Amino acid sequence: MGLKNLCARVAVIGSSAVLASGMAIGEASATSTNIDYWSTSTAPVRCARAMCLYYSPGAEGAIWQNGLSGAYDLGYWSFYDDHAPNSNSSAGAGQAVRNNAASAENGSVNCTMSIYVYPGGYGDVNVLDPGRGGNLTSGMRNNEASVNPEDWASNAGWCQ
Amino acid sequence: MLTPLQAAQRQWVSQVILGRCLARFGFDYPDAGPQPTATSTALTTYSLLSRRYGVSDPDSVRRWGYHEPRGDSTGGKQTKTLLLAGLSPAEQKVMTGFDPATKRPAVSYEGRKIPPNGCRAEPDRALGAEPSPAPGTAAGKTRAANVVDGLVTRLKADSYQQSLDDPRVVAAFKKWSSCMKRSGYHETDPMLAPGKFLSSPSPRPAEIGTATADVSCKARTNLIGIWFAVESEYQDAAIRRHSGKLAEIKADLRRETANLTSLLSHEKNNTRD
Repeated sequence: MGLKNLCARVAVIGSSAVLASGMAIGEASATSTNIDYWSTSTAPVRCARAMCLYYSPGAEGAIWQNGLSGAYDLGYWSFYDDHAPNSNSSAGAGQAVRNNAASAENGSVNCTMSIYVYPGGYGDVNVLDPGRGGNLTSGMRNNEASVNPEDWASNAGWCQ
Repeated sequence: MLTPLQAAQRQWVSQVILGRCLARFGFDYPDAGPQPTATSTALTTYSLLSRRYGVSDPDSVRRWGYHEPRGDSTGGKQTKTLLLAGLSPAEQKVMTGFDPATKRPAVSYEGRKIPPNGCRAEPDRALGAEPSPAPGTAAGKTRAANVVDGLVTRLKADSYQQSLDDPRVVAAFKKWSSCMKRSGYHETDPMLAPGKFLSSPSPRPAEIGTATADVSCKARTNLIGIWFAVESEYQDAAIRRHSGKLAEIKADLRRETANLTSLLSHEKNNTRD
């Protein structure tokens, strides 16, 4: 059953929730729909790519950063120490990125980036707007598997 | 949440406003392209939540397997992703309202006043959305190690995990797995099956076969219907617990979508003139 058909079915069974499908209650500003909390311009500036994951909360600990093509399985990469000042940057260095990240930053200017629980961009998602960073939700922290640029949000086909 | 079309429109108008602001300071910015419509390719092929419960569209998996569908019109198009780190220091100042050299707020550039938090904050101001903390302020410097922002994001995340642990969903997964086995596929978890195939750049017959059986077994066992209903129960409870704050968010959403509609109409009229 496609999600679109499910929308009609939900109306029939009277469910009023549907935060998951986004069909009912709305969200307002970006700050309630995503994990944006700080600007990536906050010192020390570490994220030079579109997607950066950190071993520790608050953009601390070892780092992993990727280009715009996304990563369908973070198990193929490891965190590394970029020697950033005041960042405890060696914590977690050498550990697999998959299921070990606590925070993230989006270093792009024009692309929304997302982190998913499952490989391939499946399951629950944490979203970051361009130039923003945030801590992963409790269900995603140390439980993330893939990252993806959200091309659906870019009509010009920029983010692939 | 915003609908997929509204989200795409929001992103589009944000890029238009950002580009226009940068242009005032003499900086180029890529053209945002045509205004999104309900038939825009990116919307018809993918949306942020469409893979929350795995694959579900039999027509899509027959062509794409577990790979993300790609619209024909975006095939071969060069990405125009801009990285903040790739901008000149001058452009970063104007973009963020923060001078990377002095580590202080940037007030002006070549005699022209920079908007608060830079051009990057102009779209949020135009939409009436809550701005992010300024990079130079105390709030901007505090990376809040123990805070996760975004109430709706948190509620969605909690309900998702709760539903995965719920015995009804666990039982549905087992029935799905039995169905897959009868079809000749050994899979225990519909959310882990895709990962086995995504190393290849395009879908192969084995992937398409598995994904097709996956969707068929989901239909036969009503896996998505059960999962959706269970997660909705948890979300209903969360909505009741947070009704006050969600009402505020809903009011903010109404205001923001009204602003969005107005901005889109203004841009459409500008294009005609």
